[in-house]
Amino acid sequence: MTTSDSDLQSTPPPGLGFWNGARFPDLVLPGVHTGEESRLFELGGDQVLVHLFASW
Amino acid sequence: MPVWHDATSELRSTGALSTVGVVIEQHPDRARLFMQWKRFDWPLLWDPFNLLELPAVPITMFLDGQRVIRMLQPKLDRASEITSRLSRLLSVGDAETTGHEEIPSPVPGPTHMSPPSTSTPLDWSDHAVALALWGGTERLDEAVTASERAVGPDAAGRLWFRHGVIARMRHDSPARRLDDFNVAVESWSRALDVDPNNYIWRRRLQQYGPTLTKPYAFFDWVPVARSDIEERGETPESLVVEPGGAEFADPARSETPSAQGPPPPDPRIALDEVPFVDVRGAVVPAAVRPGGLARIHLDMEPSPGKTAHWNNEAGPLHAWIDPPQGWKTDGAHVALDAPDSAVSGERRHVEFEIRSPDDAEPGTHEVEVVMLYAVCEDDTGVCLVRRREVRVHVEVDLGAVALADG
Repeated sequence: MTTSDSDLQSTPPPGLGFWNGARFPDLVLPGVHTGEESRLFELGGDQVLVHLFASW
Repeated sequence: MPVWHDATSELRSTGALSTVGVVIEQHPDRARLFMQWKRFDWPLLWDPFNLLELPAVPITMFLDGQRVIRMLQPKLDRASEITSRLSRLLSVGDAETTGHEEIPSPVPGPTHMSPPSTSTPLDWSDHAVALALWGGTERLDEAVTASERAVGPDAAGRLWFRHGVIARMRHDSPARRLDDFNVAVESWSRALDVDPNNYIWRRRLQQYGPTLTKPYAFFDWVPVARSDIEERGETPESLVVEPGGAEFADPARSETPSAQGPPPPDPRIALDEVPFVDVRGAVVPAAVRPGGLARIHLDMEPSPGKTAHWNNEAGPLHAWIDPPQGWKTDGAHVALDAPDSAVSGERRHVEFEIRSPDDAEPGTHEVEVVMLYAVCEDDTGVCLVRRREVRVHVEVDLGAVALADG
């Protein structure tokens, strides 16, 4: 990643177990809309924008 | 998220990019309503246990086709620039497809549905989480029992947090026990005591805690969302558990004057000595410092073994709060309106806040609550008004973790 690319990112919170270059875990969790077992990367396509969030 | 949703709409429409979400909160139906409101149509997974061990949210990241994180926490104010360069930012060269450290999935899978062959606290906690995630309501009792084996005086904070989540899940289910919410609050308090820097754990407690400890309004968006959705001619997604008073509270920045109400009931009205109604209190947070705020929750429901119901024709349930000398409360009196039906058996809930004086002595303090309610006995058809005196214990601890962010 170039320096200019780094400028496009904010500092992640300390203790976050993710970093650029790590392979994101292939999560299997209940789907919010289906209630069924769902695999994250079967839901997404080749390139994925991931949001980890809460509605509060 | 709305910024990214808008900025990436064209990429999504052409199939160049997908969006997925993982929601880190107790009630997934609230996230469903939020998604409907914002017209976010991408898939969402539910991680109430914070198995990803996030210290805070929101976290946003772009992944390439190999699941490799290429951009963590992209700057919102550069969204347009980032999306215009995204194909280059996420492109994978031949030499880049290997050598990336795999972050293992933290989610206990189907193998954890059976009791663990080893007996470490984490094994039992993973088993409990698997039962809670994949076993449905009918296995929540097993989940609680398994999780109880995972927590002890030296348990890791995340195991206490998980234990609280499971207890609250059962509290919100038909399998609920009257003590479940209290267990949840105490467990989350212990988690935060172990690590006060985890803002997922802190928010779960703040969700039910005093107004002044909240950094912002948590669920005030719910009525706005419903109104907007109905204006669009749609039916809002229903919520399994309506947000309670603490969750709706806008963060006030000053003390609320004590509410005035009718005088407490005549002490000659007979006490419910049977009792026909089970009452359980929970204090959020579990302990406060001198001068600290706490929110008290009282859950009441007709005792399962006593075959009684609420008599709704006799008017509301009343509660009068009598804090210890020198303590303040925001609600000296609370009246709960009854449902329209003549009788009912639902759980009822009262919340109020108290503040300890700056010179409060460490130790256990009692808040007295007097209630007045009407019940009908199923066996005899006799309907009575009964008085109930409840003492809620509030711990003052000089080392209690402050619930507010600051």
